[in-house]
Amino acid sequence: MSPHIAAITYCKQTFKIILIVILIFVNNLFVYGAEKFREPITPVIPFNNLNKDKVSLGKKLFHDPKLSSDGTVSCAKCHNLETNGVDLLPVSFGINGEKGNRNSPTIINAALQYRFFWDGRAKTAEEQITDPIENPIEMGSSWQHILLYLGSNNEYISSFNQVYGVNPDRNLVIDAIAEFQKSLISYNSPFDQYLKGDENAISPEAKEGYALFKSYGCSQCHQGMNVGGNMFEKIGVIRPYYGKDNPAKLTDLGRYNLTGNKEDMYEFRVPSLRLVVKTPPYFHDGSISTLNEAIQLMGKHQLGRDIKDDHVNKIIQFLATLEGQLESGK
Amino acid sequence: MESNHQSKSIKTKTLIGVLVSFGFLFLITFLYYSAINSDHENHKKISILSSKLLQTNALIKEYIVENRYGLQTNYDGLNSMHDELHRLTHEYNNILKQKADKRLFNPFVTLTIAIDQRETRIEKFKSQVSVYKLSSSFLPFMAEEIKKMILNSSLNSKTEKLNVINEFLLQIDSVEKNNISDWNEPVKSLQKQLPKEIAQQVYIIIIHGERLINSRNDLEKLTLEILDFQIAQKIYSATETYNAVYLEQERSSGLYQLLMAVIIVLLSGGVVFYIFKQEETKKHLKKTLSSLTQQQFALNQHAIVSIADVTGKIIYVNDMFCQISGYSKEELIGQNHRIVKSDEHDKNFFKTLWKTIANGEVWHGEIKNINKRGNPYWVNSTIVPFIDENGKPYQYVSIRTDITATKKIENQLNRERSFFAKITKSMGEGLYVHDETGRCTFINGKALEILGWNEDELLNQNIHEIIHYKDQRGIPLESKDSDILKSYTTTEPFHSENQVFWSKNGAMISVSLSAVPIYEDDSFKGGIIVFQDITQRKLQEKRLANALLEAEEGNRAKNNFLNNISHEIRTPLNAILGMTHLVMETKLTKEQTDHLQKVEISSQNLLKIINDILDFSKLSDNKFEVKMMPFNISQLVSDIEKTYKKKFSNKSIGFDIDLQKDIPENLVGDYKILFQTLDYFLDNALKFTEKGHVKLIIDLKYLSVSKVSLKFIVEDSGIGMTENQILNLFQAFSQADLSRTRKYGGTGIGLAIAYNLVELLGGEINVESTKGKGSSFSFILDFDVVKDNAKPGKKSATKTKHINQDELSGLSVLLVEDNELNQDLALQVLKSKGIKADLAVNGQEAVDMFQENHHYDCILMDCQMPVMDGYEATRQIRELKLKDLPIIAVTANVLPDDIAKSKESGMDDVVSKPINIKILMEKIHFWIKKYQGETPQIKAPATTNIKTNIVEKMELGTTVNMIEPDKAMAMLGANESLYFQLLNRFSVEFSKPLTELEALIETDMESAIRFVHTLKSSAATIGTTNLHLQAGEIETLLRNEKITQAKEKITHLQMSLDVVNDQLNVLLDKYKQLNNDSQQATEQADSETINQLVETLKNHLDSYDSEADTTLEQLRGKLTDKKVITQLEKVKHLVLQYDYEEALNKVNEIFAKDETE
Repeated sequence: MSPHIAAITYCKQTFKIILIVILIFVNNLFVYGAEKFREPITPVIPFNNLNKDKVSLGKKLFHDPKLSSDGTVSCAKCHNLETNGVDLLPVSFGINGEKGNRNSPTIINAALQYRFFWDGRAKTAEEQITDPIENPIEMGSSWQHILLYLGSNNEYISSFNQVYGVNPDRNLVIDAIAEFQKSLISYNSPFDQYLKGDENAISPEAKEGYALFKSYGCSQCHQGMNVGGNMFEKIGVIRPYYGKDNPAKLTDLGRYNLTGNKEDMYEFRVPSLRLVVKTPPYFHDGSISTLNEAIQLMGKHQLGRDIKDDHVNKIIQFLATLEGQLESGK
Repeated sequence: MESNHQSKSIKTKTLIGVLVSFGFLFLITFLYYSAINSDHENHKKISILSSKLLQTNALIKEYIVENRYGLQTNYDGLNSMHDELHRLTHEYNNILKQKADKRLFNPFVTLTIAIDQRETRIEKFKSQVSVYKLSSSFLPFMAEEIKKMILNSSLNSKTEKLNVINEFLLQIDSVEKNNISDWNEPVKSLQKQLPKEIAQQVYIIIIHGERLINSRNDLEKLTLEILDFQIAQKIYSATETYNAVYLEQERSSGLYQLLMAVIIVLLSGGVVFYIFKQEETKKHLKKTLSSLTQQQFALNQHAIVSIADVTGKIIYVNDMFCQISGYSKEELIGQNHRIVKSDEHDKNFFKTLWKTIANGEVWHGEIKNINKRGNPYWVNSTIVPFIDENGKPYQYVSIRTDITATKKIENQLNRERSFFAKITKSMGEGLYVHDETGRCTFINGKALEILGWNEDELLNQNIHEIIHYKDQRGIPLESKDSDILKSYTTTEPFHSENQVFWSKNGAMISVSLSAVPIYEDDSFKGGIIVFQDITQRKLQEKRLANALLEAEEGNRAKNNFLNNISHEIRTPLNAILGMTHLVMETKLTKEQTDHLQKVEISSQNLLKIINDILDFSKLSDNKFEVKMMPFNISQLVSDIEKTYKKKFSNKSIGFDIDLQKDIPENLVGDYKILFQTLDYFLDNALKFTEKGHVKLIIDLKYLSVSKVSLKFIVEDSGIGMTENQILNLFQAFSQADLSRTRKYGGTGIGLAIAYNLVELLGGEINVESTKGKGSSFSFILDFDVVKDNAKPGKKSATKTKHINQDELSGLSVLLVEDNELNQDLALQVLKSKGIKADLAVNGQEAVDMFQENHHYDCILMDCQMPVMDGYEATRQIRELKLKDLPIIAVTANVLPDDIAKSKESGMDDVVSKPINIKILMEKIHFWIKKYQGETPQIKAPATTNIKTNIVEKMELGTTVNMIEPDKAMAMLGANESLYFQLLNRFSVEFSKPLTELEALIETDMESAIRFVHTLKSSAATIGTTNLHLQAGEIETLLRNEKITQAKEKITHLQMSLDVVNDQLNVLLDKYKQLNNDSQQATEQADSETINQLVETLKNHLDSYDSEADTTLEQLRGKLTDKKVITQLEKVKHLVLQYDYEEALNKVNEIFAKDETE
């Protein structure tokens, strides 16, 4: 391609872009209504028209430890709904009491996520379910084992037939659990109410916290309906997180382990902050036990700034308003 | 030959017909599928999908641009569009999969690859945009801050410095990646001049600036890259390919449809024609068929074929027939088949043959023929009659095969078989052989004789089904359950005398049999069974057994009689004694009192005699059980003293007991029997001594660590015996001299009983006596030694201890533990093993107890305690010169450091909390043994997962997932009630909010740590790992004085604790509910049995029945109230002294009180 043509192409592209920009801008002027205009965080919209029978079947499967190879670990063991969908441990324990290497993320609002696992290796909730089942230090099971178990259990056979009209199979198990996950949505939080126009829904301190959250730049990544969970970012993007003082382990390399691409080194899915106050400890390895510390470290490494203590407290006040009510689950 | 050709061509035609019809079928199927292959529905779907894909793709591009220029506040929109794109391609793919046209896949795969590649770029883009936006919004703000700081500082040339910053900001927009160093140089040099505080901020804006420039460059590139992926084009190309394929299919499908219609019309015409033709040929075919078949048979060159007419005249023979018969064709044709007939078969044979074939049926059989030279040959012959239209045979075709060789072998075999039969016939035993399927292949005469069957009835039959189909109880026995057939799994011969066979007339025959399997090349070929009829012998044995049973029955009746009669005598005797006692209370003359005293003494003597007789009958029945129990030797001495002192002084005879000094105080043996034995000897001495003295000497013969031998000697200065008298002494019912009986009274079985009792205890009686001078009875017995508790520190006593694992009971242990939950647990565990345990609630108390001279076999020491911890306590106890006392740490701290610390302080071992009962017991046993100088082995504890009834019933897991009762229960040795007690305790102890803990951290760190520590171990004990881990973390934080962090954690801990408490209450409720019914039932049952036992005991005591002792023991086992048990001790004592009356009073007193309570 000669530089002449390249220049023309570039001009064309740029023109296109400018045109689109103008169009969109005009368009947007009419779109935004009563809701807060152009906030990085949007209210949670729960799933509609869930199949109740699928949800209750999924719930049963989710809590059934017999799906694991030694019959001790259910999904709910690490994603305990009694404790906001986490186990409150730095890293989770699987079958035979084996220690894993990841902090278990909450199951609540997980269905809203764009990608799954800390390295985003699963694209859908359905895709995600197989992984912990087959992971040798999590449930250590296999589809064969699970289908044998379900196929020999009259109760399951009859409920699968009732819900789906056929005997249990892999896709149906996944479908039921995914449907159950979709029912675990924390919505209508005080903050969402505030976003919808109720100025009194959150305290002035929380509002200040939200302003700080935005001005410090936290909301550049922790954004969207789920306040995170919709993109990847390098841990230590401004100031390196891993180094001589804090050497990285293999499990800290993030998406690099998936792609083998150097630019994906230390890249992790930005976690959702919807339930952050209630789901300690923090970071992918659960190494940080307090929210206070987590915010400070984020400021230092992701934003390149030291966040003052009173600011941290206000941000925490804001974060506390993000949790809504669960539609079902317990 | 012609007809042969004809049939061949018919065959070919049929084949072609079949092939053609199949061909048509395939063609129609193919055409049908080709015609419907172009699917309008799918085409519609694909078109919609394509347009949707294009739309979505356009939207994605729009979002990219919007996000790049800050027109979107988050990526949710972009993400949802991307998800939509994935969903659409997935759907698209599903439709393509139905098509299976390879041309379609290429463009589609190109499309999906492009989408995936673009996705990774989009992810990068998102990350970069965030950073870019962050830096660009942050930089101006930060720069302002720095400027303010510079202005407010006391620095020189402020304007210059401000200009550097301004310049830095202004240039950012125009700086390229390759001249970054030119741009940040001035700021970097400025940074060096600034004070640290400001320099730090400057450093941050430099970083952000650099990031901004870098990500801006990257972003431009990424944006263009993403927009340039030409996904739309790829969607077009995929859809175009699809359309092309679709059109092609559309066209061809039209063609196919036409073709199909034509073919179907043609085919239908063909079928009609074929059916018509078929009818026509049918008749013709029928005619030709019969002669055709004849020819085909005759063609068979491998068989010996002949054809005869209705009269048996040969009209056709083949070469094989000529060969075997030795005749030529010419010689045979026209002849009757009788030409080859032998004398082998009788008239009837041929009669049946002819009858069969004349009826038009096929005959089959073996025939012996004679050839031309007169030699016989055997053939296997099939004769087929050929039937004409009238249904009558007009020809017979014989097809034969030569079986002369087989026949020869068969004859040989038959000869061998009859030889074998002759041999086995002469055997005394029955014998049969069966093959691998169980069919009888041989059976000898004796066997037939025993079983009553004919040979033909058994040969080739499944013999098990005929003779062995039932067992001795008459229950059907399947062959797979037959011991004989089962024994074939090994090559070993099988012998049994417990099998039965069934004869033809249904009689059961007991047999003694041997069975040997036959193996050839490792494969089972059958078995040989040799058997004998032992029915008579078995009957004899049964009679004998019955006789024995009768004899035993008689003996039992005798004993029952003895029991009953003694009871019948005892009851009136009791009345006599009671009445005598009552009369003696009233005012009496001296003479009357004297008479009555004699009545009383006589009655008591009579009672004793009856008891003796009873004991003797028990002894001869071997019903006397030796019960090894710990007892106290001093107790024995004082018991004897109490019983005899008065009796001897009444007779003015001196009585001494000489107990050797070094005898260990506490021994293991049967106290009751020992006392009874000494009682007989002393009674004997009392009876035959008129003056002088009687002496009981207990002498130490041998003493080792765990064993002691004692010699018991009863010496008297009585009338003595001659040697002859001594020899007859221990015969029952014989006193040394019959003449004495009248003088001294008694039954003469006392010494016989004593003799047996000593033997029972493993000793032997030695008698020395001089007529007129006195006698001495002595015996030596061995005892195990129990450690002497009363005298602590006594070295010899400590060394003489002997325990094995099951005999931990009787030990005394000091438990040093401050936590009530753990106290409960440990005390219960120890109690359940029969270990006596005292409690000290802290180290200081434990030390005090030792200073007060308490003695224990072992200490279980908690490490964390208020006042004085376990380490210090151990040090102080060791300083008290208690070096050989096992001290075992029972602690939740089991890190290597902690273990080292406990060893350092002088502890011997560490048992981790939560307590695993098995390990604890093994360690206690190990260390006690070790200090005794033995080196026992510690077994590795079995880690079984015990699930108990109740836990199973409760179906946990779904709602109660913070607590794992199975795990905890396994540690507690599946002690359910203990576990639920612990749960209860936990809920009481930790139900309060943790705010107290937070207050404690401020005021009393040590207590705070202890609290968390206790929570940690308690959590593990009840099986909540989560809580255990969390508490452990906080403990570590507190120890490292990380107060703020610890406090943060406490809030999380509180969350978990609340959940645990909720779940715990659920568990407890369920447990109570499940347990209520059963417990009530058992409690009721228990109290019922106790009441019954009390009644029985009262009856026994009332009737002076020595069974009272056993009943008392049973009652003691059922009771749980400690107070009542100690009171029963006294009753026991009285019973041992035969003071049944007092015992009865005592029992009435105890249980009357119990009822009022």
